[in-house]
Amino acid sequence: MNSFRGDTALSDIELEEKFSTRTLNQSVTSRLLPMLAPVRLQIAAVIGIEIVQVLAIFARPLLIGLVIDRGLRHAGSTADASLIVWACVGLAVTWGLRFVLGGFSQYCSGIAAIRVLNDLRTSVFAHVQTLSVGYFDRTKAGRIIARADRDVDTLEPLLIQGPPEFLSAVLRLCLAGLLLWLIAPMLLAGLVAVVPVLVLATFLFKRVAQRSWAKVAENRSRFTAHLVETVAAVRLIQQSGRDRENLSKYSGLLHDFNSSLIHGSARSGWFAPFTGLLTTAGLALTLVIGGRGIALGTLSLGELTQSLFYVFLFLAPLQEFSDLFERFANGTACAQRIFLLLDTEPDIVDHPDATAIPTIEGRIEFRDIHFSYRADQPVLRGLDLAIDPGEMLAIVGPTGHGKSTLVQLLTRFYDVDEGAVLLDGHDIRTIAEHSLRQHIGVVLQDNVLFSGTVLDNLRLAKPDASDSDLIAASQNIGAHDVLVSLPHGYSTHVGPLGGQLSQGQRQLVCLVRAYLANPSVLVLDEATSAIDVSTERRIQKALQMLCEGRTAIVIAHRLETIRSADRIAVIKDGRVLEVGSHGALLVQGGHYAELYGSYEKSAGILASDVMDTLSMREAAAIP
Amino acid sequence: MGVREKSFGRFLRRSPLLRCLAIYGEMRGRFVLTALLLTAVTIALVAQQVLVGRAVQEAQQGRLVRIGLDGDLDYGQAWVWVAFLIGLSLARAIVQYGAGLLSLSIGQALLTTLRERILVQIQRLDLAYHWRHGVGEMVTRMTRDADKVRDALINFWRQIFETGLIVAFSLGLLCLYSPWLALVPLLLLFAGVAMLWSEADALVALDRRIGDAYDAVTQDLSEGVNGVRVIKAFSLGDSRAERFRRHVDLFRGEARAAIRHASRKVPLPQTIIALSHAWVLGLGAWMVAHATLGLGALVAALLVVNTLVLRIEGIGRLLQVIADARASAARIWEVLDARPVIRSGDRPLPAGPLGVRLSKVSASPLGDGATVLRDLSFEVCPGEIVALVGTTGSGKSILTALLPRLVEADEGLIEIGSDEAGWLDVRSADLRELRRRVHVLPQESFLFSDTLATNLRLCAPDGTDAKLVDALEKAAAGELLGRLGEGLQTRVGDRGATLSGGQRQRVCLARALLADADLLVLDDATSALDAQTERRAIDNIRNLRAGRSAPLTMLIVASRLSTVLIADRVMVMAGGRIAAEGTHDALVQGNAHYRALMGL
Repeated sequence: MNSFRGDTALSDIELEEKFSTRTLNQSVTSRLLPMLAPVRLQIAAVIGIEIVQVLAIFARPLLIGLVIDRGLRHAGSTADASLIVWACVGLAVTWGLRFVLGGFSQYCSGIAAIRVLNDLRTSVFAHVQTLSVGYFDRTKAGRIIARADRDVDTLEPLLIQGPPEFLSAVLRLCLAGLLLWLIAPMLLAGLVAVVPVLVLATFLFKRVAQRSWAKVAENRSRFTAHLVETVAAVRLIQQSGRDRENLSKYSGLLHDFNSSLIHGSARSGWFAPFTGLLTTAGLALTLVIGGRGIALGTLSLGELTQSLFYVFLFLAPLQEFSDLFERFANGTACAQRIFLLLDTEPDIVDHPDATAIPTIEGRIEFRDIHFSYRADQPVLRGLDLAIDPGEMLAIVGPTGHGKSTLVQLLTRFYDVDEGAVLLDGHDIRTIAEHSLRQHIGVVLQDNVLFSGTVLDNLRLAKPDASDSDLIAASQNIGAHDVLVSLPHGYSTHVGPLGGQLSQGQRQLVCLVRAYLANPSVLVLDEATSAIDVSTERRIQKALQMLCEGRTAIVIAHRLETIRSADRIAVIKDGRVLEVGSHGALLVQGGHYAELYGSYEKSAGILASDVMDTLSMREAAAIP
Repeated sequence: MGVREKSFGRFLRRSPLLRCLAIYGEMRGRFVLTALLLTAVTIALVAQQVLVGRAVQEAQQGRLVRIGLDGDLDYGQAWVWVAFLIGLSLARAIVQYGAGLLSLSIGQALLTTLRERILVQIQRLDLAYHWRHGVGEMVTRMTRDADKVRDALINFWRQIFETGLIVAFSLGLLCLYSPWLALVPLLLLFAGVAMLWSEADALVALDRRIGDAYDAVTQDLSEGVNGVRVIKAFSLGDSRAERFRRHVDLFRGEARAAIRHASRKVPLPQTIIALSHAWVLGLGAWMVAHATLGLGALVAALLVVNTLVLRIEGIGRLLQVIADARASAARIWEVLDARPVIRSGDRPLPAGPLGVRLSKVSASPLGDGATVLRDLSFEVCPGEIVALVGTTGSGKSILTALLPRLVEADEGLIEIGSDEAGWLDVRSADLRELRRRVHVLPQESFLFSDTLATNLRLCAPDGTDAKLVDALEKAAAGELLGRLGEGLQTRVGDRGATLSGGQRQRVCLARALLADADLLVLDDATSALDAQTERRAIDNIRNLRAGRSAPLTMLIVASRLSTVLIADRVMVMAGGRIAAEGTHDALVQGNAHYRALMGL
């Protein structure tokens, strides 16, 4: 529960690593390859281009060698001008090929990547939407989002650019080796001596670098998080005058980041200079061996010059392999994470013979319910509660004792551990999820809106309603005055997750939305907690109207909100302690009476004539 | 000198990226050293190619490996070249390693300076500035924009500076061999870079559109995950997935357009630059044929141009990064250049209990011209508890923010003090002391993602654990401590997400109590508590008044009757001013607006 800081980048990576050793790489590869099927043409084109590119690269030293050997020496002092011109044209063409074909190859692989990755992204998202609420409660939002966001992107270098680049590197290595061998086997032999050193260095580099980067990433996410938090906490920091301490904490985090970065580079930064050194050693060896060849007359000067270029072409792919390998490792880890998500089954699925119920009366029964979110912490222990059709039941009790859990079970966001929730006598597990939720409308505490206008959000509940229908509903419920006075009225954009509206405004939109859905059972879980009293007053009547003819469950801690309920249930420690009407419970003198007493005391001893004017009281007095 | 500096400053203001680079001025020594080391590395690189060229020339002349009269091979000269080459390369590798680390370290020093300035500025700027720009915008600016600037600055040494050196030395070498050899590559380079630069803006614009399209995708993702209950409740899963697919398709379209554009426009300038290679080969060969250039020089020139062309290949992307970072840097400097309106005064606050007195105060802090408070006057005596009620949007929260000067009034006078110790205009008060002694607990509770203890100690840095626990008890959060696994050391998660709304509010209340202020303002800060708990907390706070040497003055913004009832006096706000005041009983008797407001 409280492992937040520990639960960041480093332990994430460790977790994934632990997990990656468990899954076979084979299975990932065999699942990745079919994803390339729709873009096989583009991939083939890219591979074809890479082959042409390699040939173009090798043409260059050949042309240069040709000029040196034939163009210059020919006929003593007079050069073979036409050969030189043609060689120059050829050289220009090879560069042109490199860049033009490079552009084309980039285009093909880009198009392929866009296709494959976004198909995957879409299917990940669609899958996420089918998962049960429990999964979202267990998994941090950031992690789920990262699967469809960053992780998918990380596949690009593995899936799209990886294979052609790998092929090109292998081709260049082989061709350079072959050409060197053709010019003089000794040249190749000399270079091959350098290879083991390079391979060893690469191996060391990879090990050092990987360890360092995990730490750098962790430190980076820490200072970024602190910055974001500071922006959100400006008021508190200014109020408490803690700006210096906050800055020094930030400086500390920055320092950690810098030193891990520099430390990491100090340990891995030798690689580039070292490969440069090795390349020079290769060049020097080639000079000696080539010099010998020239002295013996077995090698021409042009061939020596060519060989110098081949040294670069031979050694560069070896360096690229380390990068390719790293990308492969990264990409595979991401692919594993994505596949793990795709393999996650929703906890709550429709029973094979689940049925849709066209209409319901609205009788609800919680029968001997046992439930816990985590095995060792039972929330509900043998709870029994029955609600008649059309009845309005209020639930009160301390926070964290299971009130909201009842709502989670009724809407089947979670399934009970033991016992059953019955709707009109049917176990809700036998009712199709879609049908169940159609009959049960909820307005929750964490009322979320989606980006779009207020009207867009209302329309979610009733997709085919006209604007005026929606506004009429808002008027019926008494939310019109507040919503119409938003900056752009009903066309006001609510921002991501409704963030542009105040909590109270959001709750009003949610209430109207629930009203529009017209469910047979209505659940209000602290649905009006953030609305100011006078507005709440105004919509109270409308709520009353809204509850009429439906079964309603209302959870609230403003006791005045629930006084009007037909019955009130007090829930504590996962059980129903007492149930009855407001009056009956007061007479009984139990928990509710105590709760109400302290509420009344804090609310002041209201003069009874004031109380009598309450329309709610009248409504409550009828039964 | 002064004039020159001023015009230099103006010049920097117009080029925000250079202005970032100007921070290197604060570490001149290391900057010069890095530059020198990198120059040495580049010279060594070019020299190495010259050496190889020389060796080839000797090979041509048959001097590299000599055949003795008896057919024996004399490698003496060859080994000399090998020693030269490897020695130079080794020296280069060592310097390159050092220069790499040094450039990284001063690059990071520059970024750290910039990042610290940003944080200082965030903390320094007025609350009104933050309100106007919104948390989301500030966060974007500080993270995304800062990252873009970082990308450009990190490239400074490795790409811009080193490439610049390679271009300079390569062309210099060519020029040594023959001016004509250098001139044409120089022109080609200019032409190519100019073409790329002219495309950079278009590419950045395309990138932006991709970014915007992708924002919609990530927003769908975030809403799909965070709004899962609503999605399930209304069975919106399919339509959300459909919407996501639509946004992904838009993103695809933009991404394709950008790739199409780039693959069409970038290869041509690259090829133009690469023509240098052909020119050097052609002219070089011609010159060798006419004996105005040695063969070794030709080989060296070809090697050098090869390096040059390969180096230039990535420049298109680099120019794009720079063009993109320009706008981001400008936005960052915009924040850094903003001046806070609220500056500290230098006078100490009156000693003893504090009251507050407002006369004819007007305020319009949101910058949209809307006056929230107008002509507002009232007084709260030291030791008094006053409740402030009013409909949503009547300006209560703004009013509370005026007292510790988190927000500045446009007109009128706000004074803190007492009749005994005198009154002090908040504008002339020492800001730190003012905010320590006048504490406002806002509606939106905020906790750092850190331990409970750290969050509480924010207002009492030296508070003992016992003191923290005591404050939690007073805030009716004692039972909370028992429920948390690790007590005070429990981490409370992002913005206190592991706690419920009521628990968060109580922790924040405890923190406010720890501040031990003389004037405590609660801005609807107990709204999420149930009646019993609120009652306990308020009773405890009320008792505080008895336990203190100097009486605690309280202003409580309330929407609930239970909260209002603990006050000595009630003020009713409407339309930005005090519409009525008096005791609760008197207001219930005589004020219809108040009765309606309180639901009586």
